[in-house]
Amino acid sequence: MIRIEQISKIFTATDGRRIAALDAFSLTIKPGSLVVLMGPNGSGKTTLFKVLDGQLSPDSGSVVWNVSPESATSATSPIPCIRHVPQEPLELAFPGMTLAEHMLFVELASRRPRFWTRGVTKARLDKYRAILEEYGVRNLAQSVTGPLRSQSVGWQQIFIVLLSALAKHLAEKVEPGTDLLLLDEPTSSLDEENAGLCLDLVRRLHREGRTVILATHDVDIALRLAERVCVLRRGRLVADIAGVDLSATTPEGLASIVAGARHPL
Amino acid sequence: MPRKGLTRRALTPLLVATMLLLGACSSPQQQTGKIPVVGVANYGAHPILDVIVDSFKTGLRARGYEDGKNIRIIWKSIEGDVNLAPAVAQSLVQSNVDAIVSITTPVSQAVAKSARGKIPVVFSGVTDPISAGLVSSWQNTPGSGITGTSDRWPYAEQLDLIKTLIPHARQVGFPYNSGEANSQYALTQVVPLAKERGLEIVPAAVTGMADVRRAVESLAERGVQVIYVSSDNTVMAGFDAVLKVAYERKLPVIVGESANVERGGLATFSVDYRRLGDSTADLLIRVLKGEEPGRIPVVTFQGAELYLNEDAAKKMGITFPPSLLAKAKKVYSAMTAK
Amino acid sequence: MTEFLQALAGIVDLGTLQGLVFAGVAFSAVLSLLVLDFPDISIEGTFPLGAAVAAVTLAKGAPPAAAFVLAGLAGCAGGLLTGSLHVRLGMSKLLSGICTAAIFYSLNMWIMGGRANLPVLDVRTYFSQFEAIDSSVKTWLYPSRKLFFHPGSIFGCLLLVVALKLILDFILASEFGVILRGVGQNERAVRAYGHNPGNYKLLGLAMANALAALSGALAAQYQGFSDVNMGVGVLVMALVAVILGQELFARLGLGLGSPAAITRAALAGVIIHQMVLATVLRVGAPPTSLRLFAGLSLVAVIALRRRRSAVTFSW
Repeated sequence: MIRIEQISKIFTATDGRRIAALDAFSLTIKPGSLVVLMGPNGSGKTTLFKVLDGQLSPDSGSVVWNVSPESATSATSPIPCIRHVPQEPLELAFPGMTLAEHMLFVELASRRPRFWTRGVTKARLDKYRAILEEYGVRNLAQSVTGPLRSQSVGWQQIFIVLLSALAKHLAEKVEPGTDLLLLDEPTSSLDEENAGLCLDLVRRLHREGRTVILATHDVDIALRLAERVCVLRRGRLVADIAGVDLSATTPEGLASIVAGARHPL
Repeated sequence: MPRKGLTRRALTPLLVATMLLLGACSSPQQQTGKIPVVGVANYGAHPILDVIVDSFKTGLRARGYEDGKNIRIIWKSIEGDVNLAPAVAQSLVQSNVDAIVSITTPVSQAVAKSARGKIPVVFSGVTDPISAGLVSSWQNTPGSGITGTSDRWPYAEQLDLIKTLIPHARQVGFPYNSGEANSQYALTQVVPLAKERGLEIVPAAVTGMADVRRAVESLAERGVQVIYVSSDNTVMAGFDAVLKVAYERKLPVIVGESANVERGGLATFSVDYRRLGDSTADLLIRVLKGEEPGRIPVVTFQGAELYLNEDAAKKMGITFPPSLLAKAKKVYSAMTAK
Repeated sequence: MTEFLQALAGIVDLGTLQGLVFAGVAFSAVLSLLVLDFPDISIEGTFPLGAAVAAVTLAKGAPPAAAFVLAGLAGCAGGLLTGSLHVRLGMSKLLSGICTAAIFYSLNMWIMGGRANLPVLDVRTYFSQFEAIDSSVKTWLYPSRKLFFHPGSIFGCLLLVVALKLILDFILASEFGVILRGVGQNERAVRAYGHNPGNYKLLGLAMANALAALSGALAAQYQGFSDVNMGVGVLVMALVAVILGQELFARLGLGLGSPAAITRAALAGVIIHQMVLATVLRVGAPPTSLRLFAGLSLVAVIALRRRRSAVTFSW
């Protein structure tokens, strides 16, 4: 279980007002599940992500990580490998470097790079190509030696999402069982087709065993993808819909909940 | 749009071709080998250097050499960028000149490096040619291939002047830019000479023209009785600031050469830079006539002339003893400083 | 016609030699400006630092190799200073470079024993052995003409420059080099992927300033002196070399897609720039207009550029 307990995070605006980005927020997540977070801008989704991946420390509350069933009762447990893809995925991109070099970057994440060995070797290129093929992004596989910026923005984003998700796998060849993937509106600037590809990728990554939390505005995506939808407003959890309730919810219904209507249940 | 592209594409080859043609035209003709060709490598525009250059030209003319008629001079300058020195030196060496005149220390060093053993060199405007590595002694060495004039100053006479005009002087303020080789040399020479005369040199470092005023003010605050300005290029560039402070505080300013007395300094025993330029011309002609440079000792100036400025004396609260006035080569009374 | 050819040969000779002497500075700018996106002003202090260290070492009679090694180490120290000011004290990139350059202006004089200028004239230098070749080639090939070319010296510089280039290319293509490049393009991402960009900046700047110092050491031996004012204008020279190289290669359609190509472009840039200067000098422009003509010539060379593409990397 990933237990988010009573997290609060308060920011002070430039005019002195104190804004609660997160207000005693609590949520429990089962490892391996796919949760969609919804909520208007400023509802706290990004803040939550930043607290989860350690960029921000909460003013109060805590996060308890028990990602494997065995450690359910232990006091401490390893924090999973957390990959956070921010709202502008290209913030994690190197515009002038090739796809292969990006993947090399991620591969080197866990160890000190050597300056006596060549970076992008033929062996590595083959490996990267194979990985990209495996995940169904053939066109990226074919242009693995091309610069990132020669891809369309949509494909760049998809690549970054994949790259982040694959981090540990590339570096250590570890099974992704303990990975937590945080995706902050990954489809926001994608067109219909690319959005679909991105979601396929997310599903695939989820199927491999990762825990996925995806934040989005789009109710259709939420309903297509999720096993569970959590709605935030003003830093609080206002709705938590799963299972039967979820299948019963219509897009319009979900949209109205997000907008502020009270949830019937 | 095609018109624009044409202009652009034609521009470069045209410029390059023009320059190369000009270059070919300007290189000396081998056929008229009778006329000696001399390369002059200068540092850049500067009051003292300009005096040297002018008197050099006059000196040549006085000895019967007219540029363009029976001698050809190629003028080059590094324009204040020492990294251009080797390029300038090389270009002169490659122009088949018969001799090279180099002005200032770094330029002379670069010329010595490129030309020694190939083309005779006459340096000028180098205060200390020995520590600059140009010659091994003031007497020079046969076979060195280089000789020249040094503007080593009559520091002893200038310090004596201080004692005569300001008998109560104990501390002598010395503003200078430590980045200038000439000034560093001046300081090393002046300190022991001053000590002999019961004077203490108080240096104040500047790095640029803007610092000069502040440096002189700080010297005044520290209670020096006189300011001594040497050949430092930076301080000379800011000489007006020196005078301003000096007049305000009635502080005498002894300078190093006559141009600055004219500008408003109190007095000096000056190396006559006109004589320096003239001597350089003389050395050059001797070398062109076949004399081996290494056999010519470096020319320095022992006898210096006294220059006084009466208006400055009034402003600085000094009276010139009549004997001194009689000895002076020139007494200025108009001032250019405001 | 022979005059013209001789003039041309002289320009090529001088331009190549000077270009190779200053190549280290161009490589330094590749590393700092292009790779790390760090306009490094401190080379105006570390270039003369290398010269000062070399001059002092050679004056004591040490072999030229020692002069180079010490100069390189000194340059590293300079780069680390700049890097530390930026990374640890949080100074801006420009300011850190300016501080280092200012500090070294005084430090260089101290190294030269309190002098602003030290000759490198009657000592054994790296060039000594090659100058012997220059002389013998002259007596062998063209003894009658009063020309002086420097095939030996050019060869000597080439050895050094090619060695430096190969090392730099290798490092930039290595694993370390990939991370280094990343630091220059997106520091935040580098951090997100688990590396500390600060350390890479320190190392990168140390290398860049070592290159500048090595060039300074070579320049002192070439020029015949080490002067505390040598650093002035070195940064502009480096920038011109790099940018000129990029523009030229882009215009001529030559690849810029690998570290080797980028350094090649910078080397071409510095050599061409020096050839332009040599041309202007040779042409005999009035002495005070040297830089004016040099500037105009550069404009002409840049005018070759057809596309208005920004100078970017794409390796």
